[in-house]
Amino acid sequence: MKLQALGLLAGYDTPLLGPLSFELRASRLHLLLGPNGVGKSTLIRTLLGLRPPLGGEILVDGQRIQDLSASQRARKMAAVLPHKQAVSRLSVRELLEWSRFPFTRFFEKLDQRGHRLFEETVERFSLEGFLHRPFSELSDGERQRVRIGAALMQEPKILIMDEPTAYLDLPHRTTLLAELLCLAREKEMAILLSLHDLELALRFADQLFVLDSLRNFRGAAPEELILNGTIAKTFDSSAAVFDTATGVFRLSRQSHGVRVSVECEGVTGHWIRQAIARIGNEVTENAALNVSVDSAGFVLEKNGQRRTTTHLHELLDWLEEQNQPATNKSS
Amino acid sequence: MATSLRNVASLLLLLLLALMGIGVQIFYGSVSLPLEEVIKILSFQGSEDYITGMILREVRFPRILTALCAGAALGCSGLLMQTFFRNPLAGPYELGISSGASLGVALTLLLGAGELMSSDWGLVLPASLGALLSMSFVLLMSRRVSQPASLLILGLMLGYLTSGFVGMILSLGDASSLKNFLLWSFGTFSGVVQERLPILIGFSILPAIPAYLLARSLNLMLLGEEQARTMGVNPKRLSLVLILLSSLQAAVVTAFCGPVAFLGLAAPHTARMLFRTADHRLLIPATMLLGASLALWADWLSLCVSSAGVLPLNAITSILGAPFVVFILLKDRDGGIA
Repeated sequence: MKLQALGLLAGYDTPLLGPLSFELRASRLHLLLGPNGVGKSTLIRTLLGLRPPLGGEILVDGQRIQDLSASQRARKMAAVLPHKQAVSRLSVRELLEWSRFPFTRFFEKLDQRGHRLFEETVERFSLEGFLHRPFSELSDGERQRVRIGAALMQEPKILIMDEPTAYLDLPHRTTLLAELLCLAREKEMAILLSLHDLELALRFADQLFVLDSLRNFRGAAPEELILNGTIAKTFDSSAAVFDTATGVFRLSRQSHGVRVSVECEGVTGHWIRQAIARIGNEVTENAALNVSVDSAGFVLEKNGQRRTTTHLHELLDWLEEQNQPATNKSS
Repeated sequence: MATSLRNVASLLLLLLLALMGIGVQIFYGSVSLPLEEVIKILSFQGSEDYITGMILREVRFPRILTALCAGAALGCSGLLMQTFFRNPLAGPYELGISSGASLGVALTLLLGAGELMSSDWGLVLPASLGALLSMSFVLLMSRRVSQPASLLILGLMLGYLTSGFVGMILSLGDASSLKNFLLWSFGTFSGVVQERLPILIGFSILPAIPAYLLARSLNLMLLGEEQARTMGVNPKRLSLVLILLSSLQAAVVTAFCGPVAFLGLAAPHTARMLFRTADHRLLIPATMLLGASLALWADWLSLCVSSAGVLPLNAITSILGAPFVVFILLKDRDGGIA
C-alpha cells in the first residue's frame, strides 16, 4: 500500500504549498524537514484527510482520500498529532483499547486480533509496568511511545506523525527514530514524520522531504540532497554553514582562525580535527602550527617549540592565543 | 477488578442518595403527610385519605419527577458540552445556552400572548430555538478561542447580551407577564403540571439514548478533534448530533424550570471524580444519576431554608455552584476535562 500526492495544493483558504508530487512507500521511513511556520503541519493534515486538498489528488492505495469514510481511513492510516490537553483519568490500557474503535463493537474491549496486537504492542514498547497508570502522568518519552503504540493498534499501513520528537531529549529522539525505522521494515508500513533535527534526519531517513523558507519542496534520499546542495542552500545561515564533507554544521567565522596541521590518525585524530575546526580554525597539511599526540598528551609545535598538555581544551586555548596578535594589529 | 468494584459501590451510593432524596421530598413540605397513608398509596393499596393522595399525585410526585429529569438532563447536556468543547468550564448555563432559551421564553411570555403559554408546547419550542441559536453562536466562536476561560467569558457575554434584549422586551410587557417571567427566571421544579410531565420526561431523558450510543466517539474526542478523526470518528455527524441533543436537553429544562445555574457543570465533574474515569459509557449514566440527585437535594435545600418554599432554586445552585467553578479554575490549570 502507498500514499500518493499528485500535484497537491495544500493550505487553509489559499494554497500555501504546492503543487507537490511525491509518494509514501511501504517499509520506508520518510522524514519531513523545514523551518517553523512553513506549512509542515498543514501538509500533514492534508495528507491525513483532515483538511481538503486545494488542488490535485491524494491517493491512498489508488483511492481518492475524500472518497474514504472516516472508518475506512482509520483502518488504513493512523496518526500521532500534537496534543496539549492532558486527559488525566485515562489509563494507558484504555487508550490502547479505544484505539481499536473501528474494529470493535460497543461494549467490546478488544476483538480477537486486538488482543494479539495489544500483547505485541505492550511487549514492543515495554508497557507492562504502566498499563494502569494515567496517561497524563507519563513522561514525554513514555507518552510518545504509548501514542505510537496506540496508533499501531489500528494496524495502519500508513503512519503519519506531526513532530513526535518535539519534547524529547536527544537520546530519546534517536531511540524513537531507530524504533520507527524497525517498525517500517517489520510491518511494511509507510511512515512519515516531521521533525526539526537535520542531523538525525540525515541519519535515519530513507526519503527526506525538505521544505525551505520559500516553500520549495524537494524529496530524495538524504545523501542526494546533500550532494545536490539542497541541504546547504536550505539550512545555511550567516552564523552556521553546512559542511558537505562531514554532514554537520560549522560556525562560519573561518577568517579569524589559524591554519593547523594534525599528525594523528584514527578516532583521536578525527575528534582533534573536529575540535580545532569547531572553534573556527582551518585544518590543512604542513601548516606552521602542528598538533600531534604522544605519551605525554597533546603536543602543539610552532617553529620547533613544543608545548604539551593532557587536556584538549588547553590546546584549544593556545590556538586561540595564536590568533590574538593578528586581531590586535588589525584593530 | 478493584476499580469495577469501586464503581459498583459508587453507583449504589448514588442510587441510595437519589432514593433518599426522593424519600425526603415525599415527606418534606409545607404539609406533613402521615407515614401510613403514604405507604399505602405508594404500594397501590388505595387510601381513603383523599388529601394526602392529592398532594402526593399533584404536588410532590410531579416535583420529584421534574427535579430528577431536569438534573439528569442538565448533567448529560453539560457532559456533552464539556467533551465537545474539550473545556472543563462548559455547561448549558455557563455557555449562555440557557440565556438563549430565556430570550425565547421572554419573547413568548411577553409578546406571544396567553394562548401559546397555555399550550403544551408553548415554551418548549421558543426555548429550543433560542438555545440552538446561542449554541450555534458559541460553536462558531469557539473555533477562534484557545483558552478554556475565554469560552466561559464568551458565554457570559452572550448571557449579558440576551439579558439586555430580555430587559428591552420586559419594558414592553405588562405587570403580570413581567411577574410571570421573573418567577420563571428564579428557577423551580414545582411549576410543571402533571399533563406536561411526559413532554419534559421525553425531551430531557430520550436524547440521552443517542448520546449514549455515541459514547465511544465521545471518548476519542478527549484526545482532540483531529486525532479522533484519524481514529475513525466522523466529526460532522458527531458534532451535529451533540449540538442538537445538548441544546434540546438544556432548552426543555429551561422552558419548564427556568435557567438552573451550575448544575450542568457540577454533575459531570463530580461523576468523574467519583468514578475516576473518562469513559463515557460509564460517565453518561453516572452523570445523569448524579445530576438527578443533586437536583433533588438542591430543591430540598431551597424548601428547607425558607419555610414558605419560595426561595429560588437558583439561589441554592449558585451559592453551591459558583465556588465549585472557582475550584475547577484553580485546580485545572492545563484545562484538562478528564
